[in-house]
Amino acid sequence: MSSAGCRAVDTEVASGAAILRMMGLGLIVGAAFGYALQRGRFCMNSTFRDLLLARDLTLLRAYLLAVLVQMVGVRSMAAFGLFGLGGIAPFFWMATLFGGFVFGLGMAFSGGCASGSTYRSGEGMVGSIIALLGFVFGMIMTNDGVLEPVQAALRSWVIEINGQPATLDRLLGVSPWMLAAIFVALGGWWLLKSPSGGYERGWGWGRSGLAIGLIATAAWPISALTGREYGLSITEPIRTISGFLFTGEIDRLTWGSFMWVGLIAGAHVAARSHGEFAWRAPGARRLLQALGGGLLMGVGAAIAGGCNIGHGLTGIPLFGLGSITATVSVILGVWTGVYFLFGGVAFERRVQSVQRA
Amino acid sequence: MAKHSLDVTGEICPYPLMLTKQKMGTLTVGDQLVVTVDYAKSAEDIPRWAQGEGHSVLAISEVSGTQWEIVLEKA
Repeated sequence: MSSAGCRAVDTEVASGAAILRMMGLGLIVGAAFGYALQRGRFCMNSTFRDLLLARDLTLLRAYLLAVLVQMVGVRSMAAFGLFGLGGIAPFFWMATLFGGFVFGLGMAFSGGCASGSTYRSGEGMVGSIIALLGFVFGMIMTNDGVLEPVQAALRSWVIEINGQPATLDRLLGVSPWMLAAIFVALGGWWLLKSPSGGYERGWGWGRSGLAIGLIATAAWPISALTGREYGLSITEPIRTISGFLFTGEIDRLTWGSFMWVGLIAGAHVAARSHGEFAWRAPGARRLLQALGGGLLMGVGAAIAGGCNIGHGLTGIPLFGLGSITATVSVILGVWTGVYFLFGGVAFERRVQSVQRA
Repeated sequence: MAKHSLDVTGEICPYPLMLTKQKMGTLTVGDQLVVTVDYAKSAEDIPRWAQGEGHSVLAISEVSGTQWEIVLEKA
């Protein structure tokens, strides 16, 4: 009996230390990530939307650079045994297709992605805070509530390759290193001949892409110190924080929960220190639109098992087919959402400017 | 040449850009449009889009740390 009591005490002490370690390591990475997102105006809603809407590839370059940095960095560190790559999401293709599309629609309506809404909350954008509340609602409805059967049904189609999560390298039967080399060569060549964006008031695409790529790479070994086996994500942190707040169970918290809190703080510091913080709110209609968009994002992310960060930023460098499918679906969802809101005029382009270019 | 103005402060993405695009569509060549935005990202997006479309970006003035006025001329 006394030994059982002793063990209980030991576990408590150990879990207290573990929580403190998660807190410290999570807050540091999150703060750096939030700072970089704010300075780089790194919003993947704009990234995907402006491919068609404004034919503006500036943020796509930053995103590509961040993906390429991780493609090499994360795999190298895993090869040295710093952590495992077991976190590659299973390829439930129907769930990633459907969930990604719903998430993309939600992004278009709410005006921001999961990470964009988080960093903009730190800048004082009230619409983004409302969108995050919708996100929490949609996510809980899908993970633990009325939409759970939909999530389970859509996730019942799983494709594996040789009993492992489906990835592009396994599909093609080539070494992931060779694939990475090809992407780095092609992507790097395109980036090297790319112009700077122009009209920048924060970081240029090169600086933000590099910073976000390095932070996302560092997230792997740092979160591995807390027993976690994945890089940056937003969906899992929102789930764990709301889970903790709604149940009071402290063991629901992970490194990611604190990373997300650090993200808001980092973005807030970045905005404040550059005079860019102010409370800004749209009218009632737009606020409700942000709430609805956030709700769709939460439902979509919960079904797809991740958002533009967990799939788009972290999963793609590992060539997970689930992440690739989800990201392509998110892009299609964003375009559909923008078309729904503004009609075909959104994608029209003046003919003479095409000739000029 | 007429001078128009458009206030998109408080709007969420992509409304600032889309409303600017719609407004520019109603102007005649040579008209100027002063767009007031309160979001840094829009203060980058709108001139970049206008330049890509061949319009002239006459000025971007910082009213405050979180407010900008962008003067465009329709081409």
